[in-house]
Amino acid sequence: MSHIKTLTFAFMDPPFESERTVTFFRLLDAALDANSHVKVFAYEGAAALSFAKQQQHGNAIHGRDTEQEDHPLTKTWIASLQQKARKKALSFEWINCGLCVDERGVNDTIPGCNRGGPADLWRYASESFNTLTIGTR
Amino acid sequence: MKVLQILDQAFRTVVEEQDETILWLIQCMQKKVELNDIDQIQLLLTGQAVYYTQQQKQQPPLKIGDWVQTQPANINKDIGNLISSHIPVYVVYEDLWDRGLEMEALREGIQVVNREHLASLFEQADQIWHW
Repeated sequence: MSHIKTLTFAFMDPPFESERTVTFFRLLDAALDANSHVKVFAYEGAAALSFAKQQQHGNAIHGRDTEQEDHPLTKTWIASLQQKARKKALSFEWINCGLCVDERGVNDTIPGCNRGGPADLWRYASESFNTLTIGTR
Repeated sequence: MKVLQILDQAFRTVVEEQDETILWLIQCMQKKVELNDIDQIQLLLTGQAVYYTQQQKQQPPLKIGDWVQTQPANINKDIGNLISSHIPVYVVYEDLWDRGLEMEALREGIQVVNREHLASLFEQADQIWHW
């Protein structure tokens, strides 16, 4: 029997408006550091975290062009975590709430992020050592 | 698996989603849970969410310009759906008292618990999801 634990995270906040989003990604990173398989259910605003059409931009106030500014994008963070998991032979699964995706028009996701629903959250939790829910405020 | 859902925040997303988003999530998952005898969902209302025990009417429709909402949220109905689905619904007595909410207004089927009994409620669950 594998000693590697699986952790499920349910998250509700959108890409850029809340510091909880950054904390959430740091927790995912820490979970992989601790050699845990990770499952994510992205609910409500979090359904936009994996939107493929997120784009970097320059910032004139900073005096930097797009490349120099290198603006953080949540889709890039997800891809980075996917890569980290692969290197460590861990699984990193991601399901977006399909209705939440439709509401926001963020159907075009990066590879590895799939469409699902609440039943997937229940399945994820059933397969996990524990579940952390981070609701919006 | 027995999961205790703790709902503390209230009235978030209610206007634009036309429901209480966690109550909606629970109702969706219940369709899977009720297929077997092993799984169970429970709901504990704390903090501002204790107002949900007092809801008797549908939310008022939003009006913006000529646009009028036709399907506002009905939290009373959502809570009723949970109870009729045999989902245990608990509310913290002290959180009702702090807000001056009358016990008499509680709808049938909601179980009142004291804060001192929360630990035992937590211990009987396999997972606790705090929203």
